[in-house]
Amino acid sequence: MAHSLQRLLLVRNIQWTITKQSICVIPALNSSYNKTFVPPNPDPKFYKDDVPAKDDELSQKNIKPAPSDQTYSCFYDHELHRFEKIVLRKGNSVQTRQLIWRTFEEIKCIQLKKYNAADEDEKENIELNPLKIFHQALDNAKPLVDVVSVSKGGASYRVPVSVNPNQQLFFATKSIREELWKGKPKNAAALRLAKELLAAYNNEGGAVKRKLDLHKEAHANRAYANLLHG
Amino acid sequence: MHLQKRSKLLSDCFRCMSLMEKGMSLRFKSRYICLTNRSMSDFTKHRYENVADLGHASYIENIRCDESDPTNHSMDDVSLMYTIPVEHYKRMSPAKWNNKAFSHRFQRMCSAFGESCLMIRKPGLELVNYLKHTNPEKAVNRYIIHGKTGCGKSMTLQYALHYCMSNNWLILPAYHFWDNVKFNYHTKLKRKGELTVSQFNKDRLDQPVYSLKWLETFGWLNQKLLGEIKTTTKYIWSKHESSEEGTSLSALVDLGKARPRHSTDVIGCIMKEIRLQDHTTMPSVLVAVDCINAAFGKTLMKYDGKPVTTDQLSFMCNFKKILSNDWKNGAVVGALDTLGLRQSETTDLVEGEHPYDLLGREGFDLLDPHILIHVQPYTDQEVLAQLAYYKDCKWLIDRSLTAAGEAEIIQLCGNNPADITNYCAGLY
Repeated sequence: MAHSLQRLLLVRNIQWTITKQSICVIPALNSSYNKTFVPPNPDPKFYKDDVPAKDDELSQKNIKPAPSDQTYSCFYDHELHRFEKIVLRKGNSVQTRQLIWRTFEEIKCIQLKKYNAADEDEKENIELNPLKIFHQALDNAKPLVDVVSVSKGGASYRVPVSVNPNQQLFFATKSIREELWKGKPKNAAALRLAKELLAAYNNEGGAVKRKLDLHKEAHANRAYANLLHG
Repeated sequence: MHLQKRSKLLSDCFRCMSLMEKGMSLRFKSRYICLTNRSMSDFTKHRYENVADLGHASYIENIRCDESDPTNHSMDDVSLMYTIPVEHYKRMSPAKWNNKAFSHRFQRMCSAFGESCLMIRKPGLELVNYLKHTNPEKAVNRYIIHGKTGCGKSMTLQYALHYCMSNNWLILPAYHFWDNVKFNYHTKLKRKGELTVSQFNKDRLDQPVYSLKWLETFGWLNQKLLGEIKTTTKYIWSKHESSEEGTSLSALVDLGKARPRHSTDVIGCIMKEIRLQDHTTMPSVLVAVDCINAAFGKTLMKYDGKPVTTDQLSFMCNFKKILSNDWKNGAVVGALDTLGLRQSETTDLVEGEHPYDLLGREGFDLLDPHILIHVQPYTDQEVLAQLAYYKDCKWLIDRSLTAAGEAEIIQLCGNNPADITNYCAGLY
């Protein structure tokens, strides 16, 4: 992964400044913190419990300092926080905060209308919490397997490869983002995002379709799975 | 290079660990932090455990009031929510067009909940008490609502309006008065044809588009009362058109809608009839104005390259006559507004947010003997009542009902009603 990133940077001539306070588990190129350093957990109770046991992994690891974006409030969510940084092209945090605020309001309005019009038997199946819809939508759009091109003996093959949790998140948000760009700017961005999240929650839409196409390609090339290791 | 750094740190690690076990020195211990019995996979998920500690708002029982008529409300009903009946709500804010009686967010929430509720508060009860004891044989009283932004001035106005509607008063509405004085920036139509020279007085200017909208809302609010009120004089519109004595106001309104050229003059005739007639032939009249300080200031419009003043607009001239206390059998209620000032750069510079700074000298002279009603932010009881109402309607779920979530909402928003609605809109 690091090798491919280096190639991209040389091609585009971008000065990539990685800050010290990055939460991602993938190691940054020129950070002053080692690969063994681990991101912090924003829950204060996490660090106030009893003394650790001898076999505990984390008692022998180092922790990075927490960035200023992390808060101890009960509304903090790790996946939402990562989603905010990827949704917009240039990452304006004030705009993303407003976007997400309005999408959750739209989701609530749509679901409440359904809830008030439904019978008592159907009311249990309707989800009213926008956070749970968000998590479920991303889970439905995350791929389990990725395909990478490998050249061996003069020929290039497409090889299936496992995926990191952060890579999964990035793929899901990117597929949702490209769906956003297809819509007309006449319609509000919050409405468009809300409809796509609800579609992914129901296993419909373009974001889930991209994941299924990837899985098909990996399934077709499953014979070459040993090329990377061998 | 990377490997050399790693090896150095590893060697430091093992040295310090050995020192820690021996208990050698605190200087190396403070670098590294001890952790609890957790595994690596928990780091990627922030585990939020559903705590059973609920906040204060979830233990409140009395949320709603059974009476939907503001005449029967009393001081015991403060901080309770009462529902507006569906027929009255459709008249106040119809879905056909947006007349800005209520804000866009409030209308969307009401369509999601399936009902429309207002909170009973002390300044609303004060206003309704004054309106109950109006004397139709004496001159008109003026009431001015003032307060900080987001405290609920226009909501108390709608509360008084609902009282008057349920008691069959005639209502002259003027919501968001800034539209009359500025162009509506939300629509991108060209506004060249908006101002025309009036036929009644050639020094003044007409506004056909705005007066059409006004006549529609006026006719929709007072559906049944307009057919019974008759005019007392004859009005001539042009060579071939005239309306004689005894025509009902509903016929006048229809004429104004069909002929946009005469629509502002029709409004002037309606206001003249209200001032002339007594309580024997006419029901009591309420003039409800939101953002009343738009009438005393500059406009942003131009005609023939020159800026337009409020005295040149015929709608404003007629409206200022009704804001005075020359007539009987009614009441005038106005609410001030500060948000509309900041949108433009060419309005007068206002010294402060005090009501007399906003009205200016001209406004104060017009409205001199008046009664002030001060709207304050929420009390602690009202804040919890609103959060309990949101829980009842399933707008707030799960995390915001806990003690920690509730404390965060109250600390960030304070006791400001508008901030609480804007913040709880996107919460889970």
